[in-house]
Amino acid sequence: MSTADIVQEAQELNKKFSFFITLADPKDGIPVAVKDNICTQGIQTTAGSKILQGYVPPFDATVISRLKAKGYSVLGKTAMDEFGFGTFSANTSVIPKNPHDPKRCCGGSSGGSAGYIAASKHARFALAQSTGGSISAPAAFCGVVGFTPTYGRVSRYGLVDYANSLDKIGVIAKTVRDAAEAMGIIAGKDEHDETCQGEPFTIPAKLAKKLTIGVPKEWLAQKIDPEVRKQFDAALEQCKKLGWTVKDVSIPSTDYALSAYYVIALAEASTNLAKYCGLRYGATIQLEGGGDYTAFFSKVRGEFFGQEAKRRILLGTYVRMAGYRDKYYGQALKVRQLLLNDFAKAFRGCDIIAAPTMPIIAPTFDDIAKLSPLEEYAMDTLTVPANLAGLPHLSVPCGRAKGMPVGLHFIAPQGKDELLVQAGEAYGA
Amino acid sequence: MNEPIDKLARIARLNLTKEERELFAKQLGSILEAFSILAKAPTKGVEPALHPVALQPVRREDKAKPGLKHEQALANTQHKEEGFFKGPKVK
Repeated sequence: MSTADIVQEAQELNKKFSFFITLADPKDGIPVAVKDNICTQGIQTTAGSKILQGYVPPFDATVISRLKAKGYSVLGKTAMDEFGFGTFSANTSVIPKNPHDPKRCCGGSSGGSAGYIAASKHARFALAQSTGGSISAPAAFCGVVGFTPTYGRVSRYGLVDYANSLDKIGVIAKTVRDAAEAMGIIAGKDEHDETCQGEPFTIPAKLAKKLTIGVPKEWLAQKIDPEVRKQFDAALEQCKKLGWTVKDVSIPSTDYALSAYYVIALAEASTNLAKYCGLRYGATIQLEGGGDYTAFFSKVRGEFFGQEAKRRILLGTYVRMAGYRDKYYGQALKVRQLLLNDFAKAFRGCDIIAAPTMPIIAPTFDDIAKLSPLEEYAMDTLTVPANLAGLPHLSVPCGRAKGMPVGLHFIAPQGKDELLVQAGEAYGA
Repeated sequence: MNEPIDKLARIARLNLTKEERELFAKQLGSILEAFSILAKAPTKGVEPALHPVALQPVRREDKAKPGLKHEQALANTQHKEEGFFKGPKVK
Protein backbone atom coordinates (compact mmCIF):
# COMPACT_ATOMS: atom_id res chain seq x y z
CA MET A 1 0.00 0.00 0.00
CA SER A 2 1.12 3.57 -0.62
CA THR A 3 1.52 6.54 1.68
CA ALA A 4 -1.62 8.03 0.13
CA ASP A 5 -3.65 4.86 0.87
CA ILE A 6 -2.73 5.04 4.54
CA VAL A 7 -3.55 8.75 4.75
CA GLN A 8 -6.89 8.26 2.99
CA GLU A 9 -7.89 5.37 5.23
CA ALA A 10 -6.99 7.40 8.35
CA GLN A 11 -9.15 10.31 7.14
CA GLU A 12 -12.11 8.00 6.59
CA LEU A 13 -11.70 6.22 9.92
CA ASN A 14 -11.35 9.56 11.68
CA LYS A 15 -14.74 10.76 10.44
CA LYS A 16 -16.34 7.70 11.98
CA PHE A 17 -14.37 7.18 15.19
CA SER A 18 -12.45 10.43 16.05
CA PHE A 19 -9.11 8.70 16.59
CA PHE A 20 -7.05 11.80 15.76
CA ILE A 21 -6.82 15.30 17.23
CA THR A 22 -4.64 16.41 14.30
CA LEU A 23 -4.24 14.62 10.99
CA ALA A 24 -1.08 15.43 9.07
CA ASP A 25 -0.81 14.84 5.35
CA PRO A 26 2.54 13.09 4.79
CA LYS A 27 3.51 12.71 1.14
CA ASP A 28 6.10 10.02 1.65
CA GLY A 29 7.42 7.51 4.16
CA ILE A 30 5.36 4.96 6.08
CA PRO A 31 2.87 7.06 8.04
CA VAL A 32 2.63 6.23 11.75
CA ALA A 33 0.02 7.42 14.24
CA VAL A 34 1.54 9.12 17.28
CA LYS A 35 -0.05 9.85 20.65
CA ASP A 36 -0.64 13.57 20.97
CA ASN A 37 1.68 14.00 23.97
CA ILE A 38 4.78 13.21 21.87
CA CYS A 39 6.35 16.29 20.23
CA THR A 40 6.37 16.33 16.43
CA GLN A 41 8.17 19.10 14.60
CA GLY A 42 5.77 21.27 12.62
CA ILE A 43 2.67 19.32 13.71
CA GLN A 44 0.43 20.56 16.52
CA THR A 45 0.99 18.73 19.83
CA THR A 46 -1.59 19.33 22.57
CA ALA A 47 -1.51 16.27 24.87
CA GLY A 48 -5.29 16.40 24.57
CA SER A 49 -5.37 19.72 26.45
CA LYS A 50 -6.89 23.06 25.53
CA ILE A 51 -3.99 24.77 27.28
CA LEU A 52 -1.61 23.50 24.56
CA GLN A 53 -3.95 24.30 21.69
CA GLY A 54 -2.00 25.75 18.79
CA TYR A 55 1.39 24.59 20.10
CA VAL A 56 3.57 23.50 17.17
CA PRO A 57 6.84 22.04 18.48
CA PRO A 58 10.03 23.32 16.82
CA PHE A 59 11.65 19.90 17.41
CA ASP A 60 11.00 16.16 17.26
CA ALA A 61 10.92 13.83 20.25
CA THR A 62 13.76 11.27 20.12
CA VAL A 63 11.32 8.46 19.23
CA ILE A 64 10.13 10.51 16.25
CA SER A 65 13.67 11.28 14.99
CA ARG A 66 14.48 7.57 15.25
CA LEU A 67 11.37 6.54 13.29
CA LYS A 68 12.03 9.18 10.62
CA ALA A 69 15.59 7.91 10.22
CA LYS A 70 14.09 4.51 9.32
CA GLY A 71 11.74 5.89 6.67
CA TYR A 72 8.61 6.56 8.73
CA SER A 73 6.57 9.76 8.73
CA VAL A 74 3.96 11.18 11.10
CA LEU A 75 0.38 10.34 10.08
CA GLY A 76 -1.29 12.33 12.83
CA LYS A 77 -1.67 12.86 16.54
CA THR A 78 -4.02 10.51 18.35
CA ALA A 79 -6.74 11.34 20.83
CA MET A 80 -6.01 10.91 24.53
CA ASP A 81 -7.22 11.97 27.96
CA GLU A 82 -5.95 15.45 28.77
CA PHE A 83 -2.25 14.99 29.73
CA GLY A 84 -3.00 11.26 30.14
CA PHE A 85 -5.37 11.88 33.06
CA GLY A 86 -7.89 9.10 32.56
CA THR A 87 -8.67 5.47 31.82
CA PHE A 88 -11.20 5.91 29.01
CA SER A 89 -9.94 8.76 26.77
CA ALA A 90 -13.10 10.61 27.78
CA ASN A 91 -11.47 13.42 29.82
CA THR A 92 -10.84 15.55 26.75
CA SER A 93 -12.61 17.24 23.84
CA VAL A 94 -11.84 14.76 21.02
CA ILE A 95 -13.21 11.45 22.34
CA PRO A 96 -12.34 8.36 20.28
CA LYS A 97 -14.99 5.66 19.81
CA ASN A 98 -14.32 1.95 20.08
CA PRO A 99 -14.34 0.40 16.59
CA HIS A 100 -15.93 -2.80 18.00
CA ASP A 101 -18.87 -0.78 19.37
CA PRO A 102 -18.95 3.02 18.96
CA LYS A 103 -21.15 3.40 22.07
CA ARG A 104 -18.15 2.25 24.06
CA CYS A 105 -14.82 3.93 24.79
CA CYS A 106 -11.42 2.94 23.42
CA GLY A 107 -9.87 3.00 26.88
CA GLY A 108 -7.18 5.40 27.90
CA SER A 109 -5.23 7.27 27.92
CA SER A 110 -3.73 6.13 24.57
CA GLY A 111 -7.25 5.54 23.21
CA GLY A 112 -6.83 7.03 19.74
CA SER A 113 -3.70 4.96 19.03
CA ALA A 114 -5.41 1.71 20.11
CA GLY A 115 -8.67 2.38 18.28
CA TYR A 116 -6.82 3.29 15.10
CA ILE A 117 -4.68 0.12 15.15
CA ALA A 118 -7.80 -1.99 15.75
CA ALA A 119 -9.69 -0.37 12.87
CA SER A 120 -6.94 0.13 10.27
CA LYS A 121 -6.26 -2.48 7.63
CA HIS A 122 -2.86 -0.97 6.82
CA ALA A 123 -1.20 0.16 10.04
CA ARG A 124 1.11 -2.21 11.91
CA PHE A 125 1.83 -0.07 14.98
CA ALA A 126 1.28 3.32 16.61
CA LEU A 127 3.20 5.19 19.29
CA ALA A 128 1.57 5.29 22.70
CA GLN A 129 2.60 6.13 26.26
CA SER A 130 1.82 4.82 29.72
CA THR A 131 2.03 6.30 33.20
CA GLY A 132 -0.22 3.86 35.08
CA GLY A 133 -1.66 1.60 32.38
CA SER A 134 -2.37 3.91 29.45
CA ILE A 135 -1.02 1.46 26.84
CA SER A 136 -2.42 -1.78 28.26
CA ALA A 137 -5.94 -0.51 29.05
CA PRO A 138 -6.79 0.72 25.54
CA ALA A 139 -5.01 -2.26 23.93
CA ALA A 140 -7.23 -4.62 25.97
CA PHE A 141 -10.43 -2.66 25.25
CA CYS A 142 -9.73 -2.51 21.51
CA GLY A 143 -8.41 -6.07 21.07
CA VAL A 144 -4.87 -5.19 20.00
CA VAL A 145 -1.35 -5.66 21.37
CA GLY A 146 0.04 -3.11 23.84
CA PHE A 147 3.73 -3.09 24.75
CA THR A 148 5.02 -0.99 27.66
CA PRO A 149 8.80 -1.24 28.08
CA THR A 150 10.86 -1.19 31.24
CA TYR A 151 11.07 2.35 32.65
CA GLY A 152 14.03 4.06 30.98
CA ARG A 153 14.31 1.71 28.01
CA VAL A 154 12.85 4.33 25.63
CA SER A 155 13.78 8.01 25.73
CA ARG A 156 11.21 10.45 27.11
CA TYR A 157 12.85 13.43 25.40
CA GLY A 158 10.05 15.36 23.71
CA LEU A 159 7.28 13.72 25.74
CA VAL A 160 4.83 16.12 27.38
CA ASP A 161 5.52 14.98 30.95
CA TYR A 162 2.78 13.68 33.20
CA ALA A 163 4.83 11.99 35.96
CA ASN A 164 8.56 11.71 35.28
CA SER A 165 9.25 8.66 37.44
CA LEU A 166 6.39 6.74 35.81
CA ASP A 167 6.11 7.81 32.15
CA LYS A 168 7.10 5.30 29.47
CA ILE A 169 6.73 5.65 25.71
CA GLY A 170 5.69 2.33 24.13
CA VAL A 171 3.78 0.81 21.28
CA ILE A 172 0.30 -0.36 20.33
CA ALA A 173 0.42 -2.90 17.50
CA LYS A 174 -1.44 -5.50 15.49
CA THR A 175 0.88 -8.32 16.58
CA VAL A 176 3.62 -8.86 19.13
CA ARG A 177 6.11 -9.03 16.25
CA ASP A 178 4.98 -5.60 15.00
CA ALA A 179 5.46 -4.18 18.51
CA ALA A 180 8.93 -5.73 18.72
CA GLU A 181 9.95 -4.22 15.39
CA ALA A 182 8.88 -0.77 16.55
CA MET A 183 10.72 -1.24 19.85
CA GLY A 184 13.81 -2.18 17.85
CA ILE A 185 13.74 1.30 16.34
CA ILE A 186 12.80 3.49 19.31
CA ALA A 187 14.56 1.87 22.32
CA GLY A 188 18.05 2.54 23.65
CA LYS A 189 20.10 5.24 25.37
CA ASP A 190 19.64 8.91 24.55
CA GLU A 191 21.84 11.74 25.75
CA HIS A 192 18.78 13.99 25.95
CA ASP A 193 17.20 11.86 28.71
CA GLU A 194 19.40 10.92 31.65
CA THR A 195 16.84 8.38 32.89
CA CYS A 196 17.03 6.53 29.57
CA GLN A 197 19.79 4.09 30.39
CA GLY A 198 18.37 0.87 28.95
CA GLU A 199 19.89 -1.14 26.14
CA PRO A 200 18.66 -1.04 22.55
CA PHE A 201 15.96 -3.63 21.88
CA THR A 202 16.93 -6.81 20.04
CA ILE A 203 14.17 -8.78 18.36
CA PRO A 204 14.52 -12.14 20.10
CA ALA A 205 14.56 -15.65 18.64
CA LYS A 206 11.68 -18.03 19.30
CA LEU A 207 11.12 -19.00 22.93
CA ALA A 208 13.25 -22.07 23.67
CA LYS A 209 12.12 -22.91 27.21
CA LYS A 210 8.90 -23.74 29.01
CA LEU A 211 7.84 -20.79 31.14
CA THR A 212 6.57 -20.68 34.69
CA ILE A 213 3.68 -18.22 34.94
CA GLY A 214 2.87 -16.66 38.31
CA VAL A 215 -0.66 -15.43 39.03
CA PRO A 216 -0.88 -13.00 41.99
CA LYS A 217 -3.66 -14.24 44.22
CA GLU A 218 -4.29 -10.73 45.60
CA TRP A 219 -5.05 -9.47 42.07
CA LEU A 220 -7.61 -12.16 41.34
CA ALA A 221 -9.30 -11.25 44.63
CA GLN A 222 -10.10 -7.79 43.17
CA LYS A 223 -13.50 -7.03 41.65
CA ILE A 224 -13.28 -8.59 38.18
CA ASP A 225 -16.16 -9.04 35.70
CA PRO A 226 -16.90 -12.83 35.81
CA GLU A 227 -16.93 -13.00 32.00
CA VAL A 228 -13.49 -11.37 31.85
CA ARG A 229 -12.33 -13.84 34.48
CA LYS A 230 -13.65 -16.72 32.36
CA GLN A 231 -11.53 -15.60 29.40
CA PHE A 232 -8.49 -15.23 31.66
CA ASP A 233 -8.93 -18.76 33.05
CA ALA A 234 -9.19 -20.05 29.47
CA ALA A 235 -5.96 -18.19 28.62
CA LEU A 236 -4.19 -19.93 31.52
CA GLU A 237 -5.39 -23.29 30.15
CA GLN A 238 -3.89 -22.26 26.81
CA CYS A 239 -0.57 -21.55 28.59
CA LYS A 240 -0.65 -25.01 30.17
CA LYS A 241 -1.19 -26.54 26.71
CA LEU A 242 2.10 -24.91 25.70
CA GLY A 243 3.75 -26.93 28.44
CA TRP A 244 4.05 -23.91 30.74
CA THR A 245 3.58 -24.20 34.48
CA VAL A 246 0.97 -21.96 36.12
CA LYS A 247 1.27 -21.23 39.84
CA ASP A 248 0.06 -18.80 42.48
CA VAL A 249 2.35 -16.00 43.60
CA SER A 250 1.81 -13.28 46.18
CA ILE A 251 2.12 -9.49 45.95
CA PRO A 252 1.18 -8.54 49.53
CA SER A 253 1.43 -4.75 48.97
CA THR A 254 -1.31 -4.85 46.29
CA ASP A 255 -3.82 -3.12 48.59
CA TYR A 256 -1.59 -0.05 48.88
CA ALA A 257 -0.35 0.12 45.28
CA LEU A 258 -3.26 2.05 43.77
CA SER A 259 -3.09 4.84 46.37
CA ALA A 260 0.71 4.96 46.23
CA TYR A 261 0.57 5.22 42.44
CA TYR A 262 -1.98 8.04 42.47
CA VAL A 263 -0.19 10.02 45.16
CA ILE A 264 3.13 9.86 43.28
CA ALA A 265 1.51 10.51 39.89
CA LEU A 266 -0.50 13.49 41.16
CA ALA A 267 2.45 14.99 43.03
CA GLU A 268 4.64 14.81 39.93
CA ALA A 269 1.82 15.98 37.64
CA SER A 270 1.09 19.08 39.72
CA THR A 271 4.73 20.17 39.44
CA ASN A 272 4.95 19.35 35.72
CA LEU A 273 1.80 21.33 34.98
CA ALA A 274 3.16 24.40 36.75
CA LYS A 275 4.88 25.45 33.51
CA TYR A 276 1.61 26.00 31.61
CA CYS A 277 0.88 29.65 32.13
CA GLY A 278 0.08 31.18 28.73
CA LEU A 279 3.39 32.93 28.28
CA ARG A 280 5.76 31.05 25.98
CA TYR A 281 3.40 28.68 24.17
CA GLY A 282 -0.12 27.31 24.14
CA ALA A 283 -3.47 28.97 24.76
CA THR A 284 -3.41 32.40 26.34
CA ILE A 285 -5.33 35.61 27.05
CA GLN A 286 -4.52 39.27 26.41
CA LEU A 287 -1.79 40.71 28.62
CA GLU A 288 -3.72 43.96 28.94
CA GLY A 289 -6.37 43.61 31.62
CA GLY A 290 -4.99 40.19 32.66
CA GLY A 291 -3.63 41.61 35.92
CA ASP A 292 -0.22 40.99 37.50
CA TYR A 293 1.83 37.76 37.14
CA THR A 294 -0.13 35.68 39.64
CA ALA A 295 -3.53 36.90 38.44
CA PHE A 296 -2.60 36.36 34.78
CA PHE A 297 -1.27 32.83 35.28
CA SER A 298 -4.17 31.81 37.53
CA LYS A 299 -6.65 33.11 34.96
CA VAL A 300 -5.03 31.31 32.01
CA ARG A 301 -4.79 28.05 33.97
CA GLY A 302 -8.36 28.35 35.27
CA GLU A 303 -9.67 28.95 31.77
CA PHE A 304 -7.80 26.30 29.79
CA PHE A 305 -7.20 23.30 32.09
CA GLY A 306 -10.00 20.70 32.07
CA GLN A 307 -11.78 19.52 35.17
CA GLU A 308 -9.71 16.36 35.76
CA ALA A 309 -6.46 18.30 35.30
CA LYS A 310 -7.61 20.82 37.91
CA ARG A 311 -8.59 18.05 40.31
CA ARG A 312 -5.17 16.43 39.92
CA ILE A 313 -3.29 19.72 40.32
CA LEU A 314 -5.15 20.43 43.58
CA LEU A 315 -4.62 16.90 44.93
CA GLY A 316 -0.97 16.88 43.85
CA THR A 317 -0.44 20.24 45.55
CA TYR A 318 -2.04 18.96 48.75
CA VAL A 319 0.02 15.76 49.04
CA ARG A 320 3.24 17.77 48.69
CA MET A 321 2.34 20.44 51.27
CA ALA A 322 4.26 20.77 54.52
CA GLY A 323 2.35 18.80 57.12
CA TYR A 324 0.96 16.24 54.67
CA ARG A 325 4.02 15.43 52.59
CA ASP A 326 5.33 12.61 54.80
CA LYS A 327 1.90 11.10 55.29
CA TYR A 328 1.12 10.90 51.57
CA TYR A 329 4.06 11.46 49.22
CA GLY A 330 6.82 10.11 51.47
CA GLN A 331 4.77 7.08 52.42
CA ALA A 332 3.83 6.40 48.77
CA LEU A 333 7.53 6.29 47.81
CA LYS A 334 8.13 3.72 50.54
CA VAL A 335 5.21 1.64 49.31
CA ARG A 336 6.81 1.67 45.86
CA GLN A 337 9.89 0.07 47.44
CA LEU A 338 7.68 -2.52 49.17
CA LEU A 339 6.12 -3.35 45.83
CA LEU A 340 9.55 -3.65 44.17
CA ASN A 341 10.52 -6.08 46.94
CA ASP A 342 7.30 -8.08 46.45
CA PHE A 343 7.89 -8.39 42.71
CA ALA A 344 11.54 -9.41 43.22
CA LYS A 345 10.38 -12.16 45.55
CA ALA A 346 7.59 -13.31 43.20
CA PHE A 347 9.97 -13.46 40.22
CA ARG A 348 12.25 -15.82 42.16
CA GLY A 349 9.50 -18.41 41.64
CA CYS A 350 8.28 -17.57 38.13
CA ASP A 351 9.44 -16.13 34.78
CA ILE A 352 6.41 -14.01 34.04
CA ILE A 353 3.38 -12.77 35.94
CA ALA A 354 -0.04 -13.02 34.29
CA ALA A 355 -3.39 -11.40 35.08
CA PRO A 356 -6.39 -9.98 33.27
CA THR A 357 -5.27 -6.61 31.84
CA MET A 358 -8.45 -4.79 32.91
CA PRO A 359 -11.16 -5.95 35.34
CA ILE A 360 -13.92 -4.98 32.88
CA ILE A 361 -14.62 -4.73 29.15
CA ALA A 362 -14.70 -1.29 27.50
CA PRO A 363 -17.54 0.58 29.25
CA THR A 364 -20.17 2.63 27.39
CA PHE A 365 -19.92 6.40 27.50
CA ASP A 366 -23.18 6.45 29.50
CA ASP A 367 -21.62 4.22 32.17
CA ILE A 368 -18.45 6.32 32.26
CA ALA A 369 -20.48 9.47 32.94
CA LYS A 370 -21.87 7.85 36.11
CA LEU A 371 -18.46 7.08 37.63
CA SER A 372 -16.99 9.19 40.44
CA PRO A 373 -13.29 10.14 40.06
CA LEU A 374 -12.40 7.56 42.72
CA GLU A 375 -14.32 4.83 40.88
CA GLU A 376 -12.46 5.70 37.68
CA TYR A 377 -9.10 5.59 39.50
CA ALA A 378 -10.00 2.11 40.83
CA MET A 379 -10.25 0.79 37.25
CA ASP A 380 -6.44 0.95 37.15
CA THR A 381 -6.00 -1.55 40.01
CA LEU A 382 -4.54 -4.30 37.80
CA THR A 383 -2.33 -2.11 35.57
CA VAL A 384 -0.85 0.13 38.27
CA PRO A 385 1.51 -2.30 40.07
CA ALA A 386 3.69 -3.05 37.01
CA ASN A 387 3.77 0.66 36.13
CA LEU A 388 4.67 1.78 39.65
CA ALA A 389 7.53 -0.75 39.69
CA GLY A 390 8.78 0.17 36.17
CA LEU A 391 8.31 -3.41 34.94
CA PRO A 392 7.81 -4.15 31.23
CA HIS A 393 4.35 -5.44 30.41
CA LEU A 394 2.44 -6.69 27.43
CA SER A 395 -1.31 -6.87 26.84
CA VAL A 396 -2.45 -9.39 24.22
CA PRO A 397 -6.01 -10.16 23.10
CA CYS A 398 -7.55 -13.22 24.81
CA GLY A 399 -11.06 -13.90 23.64
CA ARG A 400 -14.20 -11.84 24.06
CA ALA A 401 -16.73 -11.14 26.78
CA LYS A 402 -20.20 -9.82 25.85
CA GLY A 403 -18.86 -9.44 22.31
CA MET A 404 -16.01 -7.11 23.37
CA PRO A 405 -12.26 -7.87 23.43
CA VAL A 406 -10.53 -8.94 26.65
CA GLY A 407 -6.82 -8.47 27.38
CA LEU A 408 -4.31 -10.87 28.94
CA HIS A 409 -1.46 -9.16 30.79
CA PHE A 410 2.08 -10.52 30.88
CA ILE A 411 4.56 -8.77 33.19
CA ALA A 412 8.32 -9.46 33.24
CA PRO A 413 11.19 -8.40 35.51
CA GLN A 414 12.92 -5.09 34.67
CA GLY A 415 15.03 -5.30 31.52
CA LYS A 416 13.41 -8.56 30.34
CA ASP A 417 11.37 -6.84 27.64
CA GLU A 418 12.52 -9.37 25.05
CA LEU A 419 11.18 -12.27 27.14
CA LEU A 420 7.72 -10.68 26.97
CA VAL A 421 7.92 -10.68 23.19
CA GLN A 422 8.90 -14.35 23.20
CA ALA A 423 6.07 -15.22 25.60
CA GLY A 424 3.51 -13.20 23.63
CA GLU A 425 4.50 -14.81 20.34
CA ALA A 426 4.50 -18.31 21.84
CA TYR A 427 1.02 -17.58 23.21
CA GLY A 428 -0.03 -16.81 19.66
CA ALA A 429 -0.48 -13.02 19.64
CA MET B 1 -9.24 17.44 53.97
CA ASN B 2 -7.76 19.97 56.36
CA GLU B 3 -7.09 22.82 53.94
CA PRO B 4 -9.66 25.08 52.30
CA ILE B 5 -9.96 24.69 48.52
CA ASP B 6 -9.30 28.42 48.06
CA LYS B 7 -5.88 28.11 49.71
CA LEU B 8 -4.93 25.12 47.54
CA ALA B 9 -6.11 26.89 44.39
CA ARG B 10 -4.10 29.99 45.32
CA ILE B 11 -0.91 27.96 45.86
CA ALA B 12 -1.51 26.12 42.58
CA ARG B 13 -2.20 29.39 40.71
CA LEU B 14 -5.55 28.12 39.53
CA ASN B 15 -8.74 30.15 39.23
CA LEU B 16 -11.82 28.07 40.02
CA THR B 17 -15.46 28.81 39.39
CA LYS B 18 -17.94 28.64 42.26
CA GLU B 19 -19.26 25.32 40.92
CA GLU B 20 -15.75 23.87 40.72
CA ARG B 21 -14.95 24.96 44.28
CA GLU B 22 -18.06 23.23 45.60
CA LEU B 23 -17.49 20.07 43.53
CA PHE B 24 -13.81 19.73 44.46
CA ALA B 25 -14.43 20.47 48.15
CA LYS B 26 -16.75 17.45 48.14
CA GLN B 27 -14.61 15.10 46.03
CA LEU B 28 -11.10 15.81 47.29
CA GLY B 29 -11.92 14.83 50.87
CA SER B 30 -13.12 11.35 49.89
CA ILE B 31 -10.18 10.79 47.51
CA LEU B 32 -7.67 11.77 50.22
CA GLU B 33 -9.49 9.55 52.69
CA ALA B 34 -9.01 6.61 50.30
CA PHE B 35 -5.31 7.48 49.99
CA SER B 36 -4.87 7.39 53.79
CA ILE B 37 -4.78 3.57 53.54
CA LEU B 38 -1.07 4.23 52.90
CA ALA B 39 -0.58 4.84 56.62
CA LYS B 40 -1.34 1.15 57.25
CA ALA B 41 1.43 -0.12 54.94
CA PRO B 42 4.26 -1.88 56.81
CA THR B 43 6.98 0.58 55.76
CA LYS B 44 9.09 0.64 58.94
CA GLY B 45 12.75 0.62 57.90
CA VAL B 46 11.85 0.80 54.17
CA GLU B 47 13.68 3.39 52.07
CA PRO B 48 11.63 5.60 49.73
CA ALA B 49 12.00 4.71 46.02
CA LEU B 50 12.12 7.97 44.06
CA HIS B 51 12.58 5.99 40.86
CA PRO B 52 11.55 2.44 39.97
CA VAL B 53 14.98 1.63 38.55
CA ALA B 54 18.52 2.20 39.83
CA LEU B 55 19.93 5.09 37.82
CA GLN B 56 23.64 5.51 37.18
CA PRO B 57 25.16 9.00 36.91
CA VAL B 58 25.59 9.76 33.20
CA ARG B 59 27.88 12.25 31.50
CA ARG B 60 28.18 13.57 28.01
CA GLU B 61 30.94 15.36 26.21
CA ASP B 62 31.17 19.03 27.19
CA LYS B 63 30.76 20.35 23.69
CA ALA B 64 28.53 23.18 22.50
CA LYS B 65 25.76 22.14 20.11
CA PRO B 66 23.24 24.29 18.29
CA GLY B 67 19.97 24.74 20.21
CA LEU B 68 16.71 26.35 19.13
CA LYS B 69 17.02 29.43 16.96
CA HIS B 70 15.75 32.67 18.44
CA GLU B 71 12.72 32.80 16.15
CA GLN B 72 11.89 29.14 16.84
CA ALA B 73 11.82 29.79 20.57
CA LEU B 74 9.44 32.71 20.03
CA ALA B 75 7.31 31.07 17.35
CA ASN B 76 4.66 29.75 19.74
CA THR B 77 3.87 32.91 21.67
CA GLN B 78 1.72 35.94 20.90
CA HIS B 79 3.34 37.80 23.78
CA LYS B 80 6.64 39.08 22.39
CA GLU B 81 8.37 42.37 21.79
CA GLU B 82 11.71 43.18 20.16
CA GLY B 83 12.83 39.56 20.22
CA PHE B 84 11.86 38.94 23.84
CA PHE B 85 8.94 37.23 25.58
CA LYS B 86 6.61 39.82 27.04
CA GLY B 87 5.11 39.00 30.43
CA PRO B 88 2.34 40.47 32.58
CA LYS B 89 3.22 43.43 34.80
CA VAL B 90 4.95 42.53 38.05
CA LYS B 91 2.60 44.55 40.26
